[in-house]
Formats: sequence, C-alpha cells, structure tokens
Amino acid sequence: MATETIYYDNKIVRNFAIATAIWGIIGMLVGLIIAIKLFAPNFLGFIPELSYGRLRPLHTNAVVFAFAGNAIFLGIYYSLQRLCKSRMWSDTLSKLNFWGWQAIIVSAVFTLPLGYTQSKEYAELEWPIAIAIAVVWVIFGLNMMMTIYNRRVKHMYVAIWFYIATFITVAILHIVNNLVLPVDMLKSYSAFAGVQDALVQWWYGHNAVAFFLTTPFLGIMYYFIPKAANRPIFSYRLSIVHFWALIFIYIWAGPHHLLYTALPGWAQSLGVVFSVMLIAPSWGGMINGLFTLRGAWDRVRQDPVLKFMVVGVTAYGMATFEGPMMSFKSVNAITHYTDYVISHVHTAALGWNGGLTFAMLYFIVPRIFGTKIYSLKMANFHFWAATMGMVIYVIPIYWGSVIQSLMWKEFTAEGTLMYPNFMETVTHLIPMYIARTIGGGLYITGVIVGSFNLFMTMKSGRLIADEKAEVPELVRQSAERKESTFHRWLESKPTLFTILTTVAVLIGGIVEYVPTVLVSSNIPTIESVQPYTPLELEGRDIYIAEGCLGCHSQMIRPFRSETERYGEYSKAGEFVYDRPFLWGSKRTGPDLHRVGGKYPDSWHYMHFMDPSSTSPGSIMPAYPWFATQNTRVESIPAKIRTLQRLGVPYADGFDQQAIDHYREQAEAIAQGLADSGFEVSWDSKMVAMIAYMQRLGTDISANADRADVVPLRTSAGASNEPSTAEAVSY
Amino acid sequence: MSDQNKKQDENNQPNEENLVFDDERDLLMDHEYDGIQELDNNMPPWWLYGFYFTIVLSVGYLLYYEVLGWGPSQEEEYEIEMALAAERYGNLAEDAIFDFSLTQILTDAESIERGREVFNASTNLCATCHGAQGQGLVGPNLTDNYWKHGCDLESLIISIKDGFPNRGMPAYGSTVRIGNEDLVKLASYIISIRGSDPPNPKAPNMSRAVECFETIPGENLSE
Repeated sequence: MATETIYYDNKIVRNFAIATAIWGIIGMLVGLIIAIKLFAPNFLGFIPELSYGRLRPLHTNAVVFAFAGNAIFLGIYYSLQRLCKSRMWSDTLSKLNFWGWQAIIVSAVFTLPLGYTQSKEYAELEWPIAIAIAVVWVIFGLNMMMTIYNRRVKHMYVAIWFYIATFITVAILHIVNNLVLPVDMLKSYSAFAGVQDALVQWWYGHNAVAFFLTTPFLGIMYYFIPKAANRPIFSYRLSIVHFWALIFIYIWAGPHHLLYTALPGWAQSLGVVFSVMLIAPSWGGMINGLFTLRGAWDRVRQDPVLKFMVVGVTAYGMATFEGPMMSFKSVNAITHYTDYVISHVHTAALGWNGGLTFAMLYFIVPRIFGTKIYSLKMANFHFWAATMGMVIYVIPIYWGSVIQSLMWKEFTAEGTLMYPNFMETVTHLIPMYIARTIGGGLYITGVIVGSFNLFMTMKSGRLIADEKAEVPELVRQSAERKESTFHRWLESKPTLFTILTTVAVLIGGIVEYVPTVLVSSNIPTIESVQPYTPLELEGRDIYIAEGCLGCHSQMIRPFRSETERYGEYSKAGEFVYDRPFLWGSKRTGPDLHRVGGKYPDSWHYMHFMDPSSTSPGSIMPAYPWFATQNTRVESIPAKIRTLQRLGVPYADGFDQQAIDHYREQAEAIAQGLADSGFEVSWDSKMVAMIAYMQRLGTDISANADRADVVPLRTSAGASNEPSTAEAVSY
Repeated sequence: MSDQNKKQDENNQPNEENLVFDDERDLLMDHEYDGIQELDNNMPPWWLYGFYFTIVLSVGYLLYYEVLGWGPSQEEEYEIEMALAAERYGNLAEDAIFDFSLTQILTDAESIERGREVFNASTNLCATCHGAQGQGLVGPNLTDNYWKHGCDLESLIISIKDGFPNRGMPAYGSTVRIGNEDLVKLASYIISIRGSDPPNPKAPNMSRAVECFETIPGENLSE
C-alpha cells in the first residue's frame, strides 16, 4: 500500500494542555474560596464582585467549561488526528477554536462577578457570550468533522462516535437553552417561562453533564486506556450497545432534577425511569474500561496515567450508580436541595473528569515533548492528594447533608417541626463544610504539584510541533467491500452516523417538551397570578444578578414538613411570568417562595445589611451595597417592552408609565423604612429587593387584592389571558 | 499497519505490541486504530440482564403510576400525609382556638423564664423588632405604659397570634409557630417586663397609644 508522510499538529495539543492546567488551578481556587465562605461568610469582606452568589457560577463555569472544556479539546485534538491518520483539517480553525474558547472564558471571568448572568445553572453567560460559544463550538465541530471526512482509516473508532455525539448534542442543548430576547447588551429574558423554562434548563443542565462531562471523556477513555495499557478493548459489541443506549436514554433523564416540583407528574416519571435505565449503559463504559486492563494491573501500580484512569473510571461507576438512585422519588425527597448533590457532583468531577484529565496530561505531555515525566514521585504525590482529597471532600458532605435533610423533616411528638429554625440545621453542617474545604485544599495542592511536574516535563524536552507520521495514502473508498454487520458499515459513514446520533438525542427532549407547552392541563392557570410590577421586576433582576438562587430555592415541595415550614406548596400556575424560572437547586438557606409578607420591610432591611442581626449564626453574607447602589431605573421601559414581546400582558403603552409606577411603589416602601429609622433612596437596590421579597408567593392567597397591580392588556385576543374554564381557584 | 505504527511513534516511546492472552486470540478483531485493537467478547450476562431488568422495572413503574393510575400522584401523596397527621395530632386548626376564660397571667419564675426564651428565640422575631429588653427598636417599646392594641393578657395574646401584617408585625399563629402554652407564657413575660425601664427606650407614639391601667400581678398599683 502506498504511503505518504503527514505531520500531526502537536502545538495545538500543547496549547490546550497548558490552558487545561491553568484554568484548572484558577477554577478550583475559586471553588476553595466559596467553600471557605460557607463557614466564614465574611471571608474577603463584603465586596459585591467577590460575594458567594456571584463567585459560585464562576467556579462551576470555570471547572466545567474552562478546565474540562480545554481537556476535551486536548483529548480530541490529540487522539482524533491519530485515529484518523490525518492532521486536523484546518490549522486556522484549530487556532480559532483555541483562542476563541480562551476569550470566552476570560469574558466569563469578568461578567459573572459583575453580576451579568442569565442565572440558569451552567448556562449563566449572557447572550453575546452565549452566541460566541455557539460560534466557537461550530468551528470546533467543523474542524473535527472535516478531519473525520479526510481520514485515512476507513472506519471510525468508538472514541470518535462519542466525539460526534458530544459535538451534536452540546450544540443543540446550548442553542435551545439560550433562546432569549435581549433587553440590552448584557441583559436578556428567557424565551421560556416558569415550568417550561425549568424543563428546558434541566434538559440542558442534565445533558451538559452527559454530553460535556461524560461522552467526550468516554471517548478519551476509549483512546487512552488501551494506549496506556497496551491491551485490546474488552468488547466491541459492548461499545456499540452502550454507546447507542447511553446517548438515547441520557437525554430523557433531565426531569429527575425536578422531582416533587410543579413539573407535571408524567414528565417526572419519565425522568425517574430513564435515569434507572441509564445505569447499565453508563456501566458499559466502566466495564469496557476496567476489563480492558485484564493482565495489566501490575502496570497500574507504576504508571500514573493508569492510576488516574482507574480511579477516574471507578468514580464514574460510583457516580453513575448513585445518580439513578437519587432519581427515585423517595430518595430524591431526602437528597434534593441538600449538599448531597454537591458531593455527588464532586465524586464525578474530581474523580472522573479530574482523573481522566490528568491521566491524559501525563500521557500526552511527555510524548509530544519527546521526553519522560519529570518526576514520577511528584506524579504519585499528585495521585494520592487527588484521591484522598476527593474522599475527604465528599464523605463529610454526604453525611452532613443527609442529617440536615432529616432534621428538616423531623416532627415533635405534638406534630410540630422539631427544628422550626432553619439555622439550627445549618449550624450542624459547619464542621462538615470545614472538612470539605480541607479535602478540596488537598486536591488543589495535588493539582498545583502536578502542573509544576508537567511544566518541568515540558522544560526538559522540546515540543515536537509537527510530528511526522507515515500513513496510507488518502483514497476515497468507492468500491464498497461487503461489511460484516450493519454497524460496521455505519462506522464508515460519518454523515449517516451523525444523522442517526442527532435523531437519537432529539427524541427524548421533544417527547417531554412539546406536551408541556401544548397541553394546557399541564400548567393549570391561576387567575390571581399577576405579572411583576416594574419595581418587583427590578428586584427580581437583582436577585438574579446576585446569584441568590445559588443558596435559596423557590419551590416548596408537597411534603407536610415543607408546607409547615414554608407555607402552601408551589403550583405550576404561579410561575407563568417567571423568566427565567428561579426554582433553584440547593437550600443552603431556606426556601423563599412564600417569604412574601412573612417579615416586615424593616426586617428585610436589617437582614440584608447584616443577616446575623436577625438570624444569629447565619452564614449568609451581608449585602450592604443594596443600600448604597442604585438601580438603573431608565432601563425599565426596555425591560417592559421585551417582556411584552415575549407575551407578558402588560397594557399597551405601559412601558412609558413604568418609571412612574416604579417610583410610586418604591417611595411608599422607602417611606415605610424611613419611619422605622432606615433611610434609603427610593431607587436603591434595597427597595427593589424588598419589593420583590414581599411579592414572592403571595399571588395565590385569598386576599390578593394588592394595591400595586400593573395595568393589563384587556383585548380578548391576548395570548396569556387566563381562561376561566381552566382557572383553578385556591 | 503495525510497522507503520512503529515508525509513527519512533520519536516517542517505542510502540509495544499489545498484550493478548492465548484465550483471547480467537476474539481479536481484524481491525486496529492507531495500534488500538478490539476483542469481540460477549457483553457480560449480568450487565445485559441488569439492563433488561431496569427496562422491565421502568415499564412497570410507568404503568403503575401513569398509565393505570394505581400509584398516588404527588398531590395525592400530600393529601394522604396531611390526613395521617390530622389523625395522629388532631386538627391543628381547631387546637388554635383559644379558651380565654381559663387563661390567666402566670407569675411563676419558670413560666416567665420560658416566656423570655420564646421572646428571644431566633425562630420568633420579637426581639428583632422590640429589642432584647423590650425597649423597642423598629417595633414599639413593650416596657412602658402606653399601648396601641391593649395591654391586658387577652389583647396581648390576640396581637401576637394575629399580628398586624399591614404594619409589619407577622402573625405568630398558634400551635405551629408558638404553641398555646408558650403563647400564655410569652404574654405573661411581656407583662412582667412592664415598667422595667431598660436603657435606650423608644418613645411612645402618643397619637395612637393610650395609657394602660391594667393591674400587673404582684405589683401594687398605688406605687
């Protein structure tokens, strides 16, 4: 067979390797800072840009999209060239992919602490950045697909299947979940409201885990484990079955993030069963990884690459068993809203994603620099610091969170809540938070040592920027050789393969989403539910900007322990004007859905200025800037117009009266605060936040005849007009 | 192909032959990717049957809860839970009815101490607005002799129970947030601190408050 000489692009691989390590350290350090803030709320003082609520999304975005994201590109750019026996299709696109991605991350580092956020978890970045992500992702996908089309190997190896699924699905998820209508350059409102927004968000959120943190890493595993162990893959058949089962089933499981919420019951049930069916397809990957190591376990003892791989794949197995268990409604009733989920996530992130990433780095860096690992001792230290760090991180939080959840649910012999004060259940968690910080600190120490080791490895060798390879000549296969099976044939057809993958991942989302929108009985209308007033809307936008939902849910589940503590459970019809929805996913503080009217305005003022003044022992940070910073009142008309375009039935021309309406409602609140001895200006953030707090969850109460209702469109053709036939009265 | 692989990797580590056991040779498939080979092992039966089991379980789950509607919905589960609680603990709403004819001001130290605890408990917000000594902060002074809504035991209990939501004082209800017994003790405590003259007292709002002429047990009014 005629051969030709080509050169693999190693420079782009090196660039992604460096970016992975640097962003890994930064993202994890931000994580460490917010971990400390949970037991020392005044750590770093009360600076708006460094507050917990704003830094938490920076941590999640940095580790998911910067650390794991660069790791994905690292793994794909290295392995794809070699699996296809072809250099990346376009060096220009490779560079655009690299620098575009870094620019996106840098923009996140600036916008998130400044409070520019959509507040949807792992999709916080505002619309201009979201568009940039889509563009760079398509650049990456184009470069990858063209490399696949120009491959010199007839069939696509299983790793490439996972890469294709990653590209297609992340593109779909990202675009749909970011459908928003912009107000200005840095503010937008979701195209979906309430229940539908929740469904779309968790379809995205869950599958971001699936197709950003799982499938690309499975592809990476399929390349690097057999390479590092010099062993054939255990079972080709298993690869086929678990690949298709995994991508088809995963997409349905999003509603397990919304169990016992106002999401329709049938959608919740689908979320439960598809999560349970996900155990085997997930474990298929683990089995194929671990069984490939047959006879190579002696090398696992010596080779840091294999060590990290084994711990990573095992952590993957644990997390993918635990996930389905947490999707059973009875288990979810205990674990949801607690830090249990945080532990679950960190088993996967620190073990699986971190493990595979560093295994890959220890594999690739010596090879592309034509040298050996600088220090095996340091690599071993890194391995143990990572493993023990992970264990010390997750166990205390698993333990503490279950106890906290049981405390929330405990009743006295007289039938009243045993711990009616939420604070009591938080105080108990604080030692666990400290232990978690120690574990996390150990993990980061390992990462820093590991990065130094990799840096020294780079210094000890020289980058083979263009690696020479003798490969078979590029021939367009025209005469089809009879393939043994259909799938074998499919493996040589990238276009068809991509189409089938797209179909497989679309089905679940469509089946769950379309009925939720079209069948009106899924979201029973509540007539007394009104759109937010301009002031409340502004307060809501501050709530979003400050990242309040990082610690507070707005979704009371139908349990006696919750209705006793918080009030009537939340109904789907209450959220029709919520763009985006703010149900939250974690209760570091209490639920806020029925906080409206519970406390006087002056209580909120004191609480925001110093939470421990009203709730001794509180770990909530203070928000003194609410009293000193003013809102941008002039932006209100544009917000109202944007919402009108999305179908919120504000009366025509209300945008022009909105500022006056705002001022009137705000001055009344400011006056009330002044009577209590607290002077704030009517356009302060404080007043808007208090108005929003007092509004929350009050619309369904019998005497909802509020003074500050907004004028509504009256025409019969209005799309959001509540229909009396469907109205549910409470 | 394997020759090429050797060449291709020659500027890195030597590309070792893959380790293949004798019992696997028949299973080795005739393709390789960058030196990676694959075996044609069967899927582990426990894995495959485990997968089938979860599918059967899922079909059963959907039938039971959604198709046949045998299992309770979450709203029905809630109704059941509430009905059970009502059976066990009695109707909480009925208990909330207060029989004032049997209630009198308590003066024993234990009751007053309990009242003080309730007053300062962070679950309740008495101290937040009225001050730890009842001297008044956002809310009025409770230690002076000027009252807006009545200073007798019954008025106090009603004020605490129902609150003044429009003026900023939440309703503390009964039984759930502050039980009936505690309510009496709390009101008794508040009566007991009348005239205690704490530091930084808040001045009464004379346009709405009236002077109190109720007798405080254990005190001589003439003094």
